[in-house]
Amino acid sequence: MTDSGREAVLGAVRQALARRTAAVGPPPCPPSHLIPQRAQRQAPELHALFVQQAQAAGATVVSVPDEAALAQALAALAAEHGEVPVVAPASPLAKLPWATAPALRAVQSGDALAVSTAVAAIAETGSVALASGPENPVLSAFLPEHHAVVVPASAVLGPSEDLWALLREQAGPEGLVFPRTLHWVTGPSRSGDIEMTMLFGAHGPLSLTLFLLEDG
Amino acid sequence: MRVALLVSCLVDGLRPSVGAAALKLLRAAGCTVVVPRAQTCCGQPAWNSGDRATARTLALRVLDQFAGVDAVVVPSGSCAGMVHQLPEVLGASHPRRAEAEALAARCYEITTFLVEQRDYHPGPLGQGQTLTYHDSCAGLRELGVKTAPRILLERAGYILVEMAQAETCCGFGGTFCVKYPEISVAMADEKLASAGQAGASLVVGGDVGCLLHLAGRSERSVAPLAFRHVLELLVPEREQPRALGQGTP
Amino acid sequence: MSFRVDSQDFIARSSDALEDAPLQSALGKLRMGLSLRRREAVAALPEFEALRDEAAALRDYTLATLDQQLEAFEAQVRARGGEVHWAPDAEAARRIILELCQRYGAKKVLKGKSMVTEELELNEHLEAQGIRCVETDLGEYIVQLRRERPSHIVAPAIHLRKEDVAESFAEHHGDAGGRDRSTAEALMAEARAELRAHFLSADVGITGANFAIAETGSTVIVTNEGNGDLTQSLPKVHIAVTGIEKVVPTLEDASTLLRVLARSATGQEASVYTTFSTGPRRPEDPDGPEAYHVVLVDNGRSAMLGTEFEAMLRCIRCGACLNHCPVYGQVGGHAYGSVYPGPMGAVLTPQLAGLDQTVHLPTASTFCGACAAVCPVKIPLPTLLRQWRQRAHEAELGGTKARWLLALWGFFAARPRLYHAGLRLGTRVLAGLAGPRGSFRRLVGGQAWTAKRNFPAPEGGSFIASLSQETFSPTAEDRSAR
Repeated sequence: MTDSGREAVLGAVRQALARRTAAVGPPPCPPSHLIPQRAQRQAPELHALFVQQAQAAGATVVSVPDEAALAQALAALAAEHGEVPVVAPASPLAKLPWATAPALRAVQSGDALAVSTAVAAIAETGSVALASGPENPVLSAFLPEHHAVVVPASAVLGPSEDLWALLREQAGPEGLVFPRTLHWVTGPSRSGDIEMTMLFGAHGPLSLTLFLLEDG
Repeated sequence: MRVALLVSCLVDGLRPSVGAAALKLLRAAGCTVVVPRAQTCCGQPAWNSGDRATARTLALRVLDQFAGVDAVVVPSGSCAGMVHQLPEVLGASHPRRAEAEALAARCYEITTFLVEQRDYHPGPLGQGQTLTYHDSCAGLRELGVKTAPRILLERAGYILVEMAQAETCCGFGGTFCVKYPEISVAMADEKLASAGQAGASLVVGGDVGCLLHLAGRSERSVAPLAFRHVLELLVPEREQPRALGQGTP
Repeated sequence: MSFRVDSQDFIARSSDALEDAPLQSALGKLRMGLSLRRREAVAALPEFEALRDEAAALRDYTLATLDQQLEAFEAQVRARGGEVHWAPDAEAARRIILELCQRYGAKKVLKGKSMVTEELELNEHLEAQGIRCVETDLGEYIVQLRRERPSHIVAPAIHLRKEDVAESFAEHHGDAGGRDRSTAEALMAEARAELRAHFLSADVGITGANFAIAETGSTVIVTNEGNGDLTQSLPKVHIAVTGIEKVVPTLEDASTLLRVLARSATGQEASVYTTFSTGPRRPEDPDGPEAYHVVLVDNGRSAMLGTEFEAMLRCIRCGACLNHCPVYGQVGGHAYGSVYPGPMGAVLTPQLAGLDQTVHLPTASTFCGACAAVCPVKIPLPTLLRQWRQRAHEAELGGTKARWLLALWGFFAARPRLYHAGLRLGTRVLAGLAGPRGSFRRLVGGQAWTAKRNFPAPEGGSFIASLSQETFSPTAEDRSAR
């Protein structure tokens, strides 16, 4: 069934493209990629842009000088809700110098705060990029009431094209290896579906806090 | 400069004073003006109704009538926009396609022509009268007519107050206004409300179609506004017809 | 045709819509709100116009190489452990999705927001087979509870007031403890809680795809709520359903399109969640779906390739043309009688459902051009609407009275002497009849104009006829000119 569907669809497309070539000639060249000027900055302007854009999208951005300060800030954020942060057992964050131990387990619906790590940040839009895997469960970004993401300062890129370039650099002989899920998260969950009133926390977290970790 | 005036059906039949004003202004701007007598309709109603054959017949008439001048000038953004579409009306392989392209290239909406081609400065006429300007869609989006009418009105001494919805369609839309009268009128009401909020009692535009529609609707309201084609305000008051929107049937 | 439309009643439905005060208040907010937000977002990006050109060129390139892109996409999905299914029409798509649900023993299916599945009427089909479908986008959820269709492709419940939502929630969620339903905040919190229970108990998650990337075999969804991510991450199966035209060659191409998408849709610089999904979960992954399927739906799309309607396949479903259309702004989405309303719907629906059922849709436009002016992929929507009008004219669809009047006009316009004599006489008679009153409240045969408008009387006589023969002959120069 599926195979006959495949032939039907591809056959119809090829027939249409033959018609197209007869009418307007061969396909055009692929276009170049314009990257907005604003995204083409270097640190520290790039960091400033990232902070500005992330805040404009409704995220809170906190700079932390080192891992001890990071652990303290995460614990304090969770404590506001009377809980400890939830961290994936395989996350490098598990090894932070925690004063109070975090919950090293999978996130559950109703948890106050889960913490993810960003593979990169996109300054152009104030987004953080999360790659799924043992260190970064997808659900950490969606099930908790509040979400925190740790962004190494060196991972702040300009446009999303720089993220693709980074992934291409890391590609092995089999080409680009993509995680099951790559997310760009830009501010906390929201919806304007009721009378166009924009409200935070539609299905995902009510707030997003980005910890920009100075890493040398 | 030798220019031909494409009067447009609505000006020709319903608002001939606008044609007279166009003639006068073009002459004052130093043009030699011809008005082809056998001109009728540019074919837009047929073209927009999907009647390509009739649109083509009328397009060829336009090519015949308006050959051999430096510029074709139209007191309507809508009809000028139609002339710009004549190559498309004829189609890619029509033997007169190149002629249509040449005609389109030298066809201007009149306020744009007066400002950009002639740098025309009308005399002081406005005496500080306040008005608001309705951008008709074809002129605005097909030809980019935006600043030229405002420049002329301000040069003539009128005071322009912008309405928030200056660029929103008024709902005329040619045959649309009689095919879907209820939607058309609802759109007019929104436009009229926006004009009213701007605080001007005179609404000015560059297309007689929009103005007839808005004026006709406005006359049914408790506080009708006045409506004029922009060219009416660029000639002395004694040459101006009665403003639209002031009827009392 | 299997595409359901109720477009023949467009006039009656639009009249109802114009009389519907709550709807009019909702549409007023839409008209002001979204166009303003878009304008601000566009003003903040100097390269926006250049990006529109690039996005349009990119879509055209992709369409011109569509077979290669689709095959490349399929190969990548397979290489990552996913399955690709090809559906030539709606019926095939529904059958494929049903069989997948049955294969996994699904009793409850979550839906992310997907216009293609609306086009397929997938929910009705699955529910008829005993599979419960739960829409998870807040607007879609509300519309589903009310057994309505979305009225906007991006904001499905834009036609409703919070009181309407409160009423539906009271009916479906019960009234335990006298819940507060007086604010949008309370309503959203209630929906969040209700839907969370569904998220945790569903077997299959079905999403659409804003893009399908040939290079990586990824499907991309863009949401603000995060519902799409829960939909595709919690159940054990993720099915992404998308039109064949949604494929893009590379990751960089997706970046380009994403730059114009959110700005055009909601005036955001980026949507909250942009999610690239590639294959099923990896062995080491702690969460994510165990199976990943992509259903590529043709359903009339390939028939547009290589035709005058090809540019419509550039569409990225941002909804900007709806938000800026003055007709949509007055009558709302339901008047169109199609899941695709507004300008993009008026081009697409006749293709999907046949022109004889839908002739009002391309006709009910003033050709104001606001849609084309904002389209992020520069679809010449008025031109495409005119193409449908040409087909309608050739097929003699639509009102016969209008055709006769137009033919009569064409006849006179090709005979200048007759035309000018008639015009002069007619306008003089009308001017005389109106006299000092200046306009008409009624005109014989002019009810369509005068029902709600006066008809301003002509000044009398015609401009051309008033010119002297010698001075203004067609060929002679105006000798009186300076």
